Amino acid sequence: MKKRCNAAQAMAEKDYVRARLLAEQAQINAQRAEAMASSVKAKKAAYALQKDSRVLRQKIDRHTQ
Amino acid sequence: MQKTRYFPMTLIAAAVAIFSGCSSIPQNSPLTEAHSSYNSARSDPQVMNFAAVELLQAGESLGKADHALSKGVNEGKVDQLAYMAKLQVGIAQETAERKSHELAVTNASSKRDQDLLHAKTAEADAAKQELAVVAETVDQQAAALAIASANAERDQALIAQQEIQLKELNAKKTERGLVITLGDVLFSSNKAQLESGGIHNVQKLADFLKQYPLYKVLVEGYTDSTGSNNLNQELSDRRANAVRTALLDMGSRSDHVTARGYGEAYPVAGNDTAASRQLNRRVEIILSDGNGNIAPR
Repeated sequence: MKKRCNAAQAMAEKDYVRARLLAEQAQINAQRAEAMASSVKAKKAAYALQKDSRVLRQKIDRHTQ
Repeated sequence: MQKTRYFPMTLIAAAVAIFSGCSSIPQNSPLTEAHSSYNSARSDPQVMNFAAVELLQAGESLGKADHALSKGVNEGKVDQLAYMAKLQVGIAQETAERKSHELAVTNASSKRDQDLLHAKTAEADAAKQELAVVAETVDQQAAALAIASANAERDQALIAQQEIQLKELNAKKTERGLVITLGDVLFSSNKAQLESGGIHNVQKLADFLKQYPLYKVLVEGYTDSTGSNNLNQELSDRRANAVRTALLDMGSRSDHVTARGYGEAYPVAGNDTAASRQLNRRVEIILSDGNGNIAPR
């Protein structure tokens, strides 16, 4: 966010080289943030499912005893 | 992959060539840091398995940074490429993490489906078994019912047959049970000998007792009031015994036939006319119930 602002500011100041660098950084930062968000989401889903499966397994075991 | 691995080598060779005479290879601290991140990601099998493409991009950025450094391009450019490379390594690591969790989800899902399937199968098997038990019980009950109904039919037929036979014996229902009366005319007068008609009647009774061995009989002799008590008692004893002997001769069991004389006691009619006296001279045979019990006088 900050980098994007800085890039915009550099553009305004016509420092195009710096603006480009900052824009690239902003883009890669966004990409990494997205990758992190996806990985956290997947992790939560995996844990939730594993927990559900454990409960189900216990239910089945109780039922079949 | 291979390309990225060669970049650092060419870098070193180029650096040595360019800066020969210098005591050390030029350093760029963000780039060194990026290399270090990259190398640790490369040694992580999870990243190698799940995020090879993403890591390749980081490697390409690193290569460009190395190249820029070796060419002496301005520091800002090298820093920028090192920065990009470092974040790309991070992206590769996050991607690998995500994919491994996704794989876990897939595996857990299929495991859960399998568990459910097993549970359903077990449930179905149990239900089937239960059904088989129920079916067997139903079969058994149906068989038992068939036997019971056959028995009932047979019993009914037996009862019907018995009733016909009792009717033929001229048995009458009384308070003491079924009573067959052998009248005076079936005996020689004042004698205990059975006439042929009496024998015929006794034979039917013997047949009945043979067919239904649970029954017993009590043979009772009676006279009218004519004559002395002693003679009457004696005559009634003899007549009752005569019938008993006849029954035993015809195959009845001795412990099933009891004889007793009552003399002139228990008249069934007055003793004032010849006809009523004849009614009093008689032998009564009391048939027991189905268990051999006879109500005594």
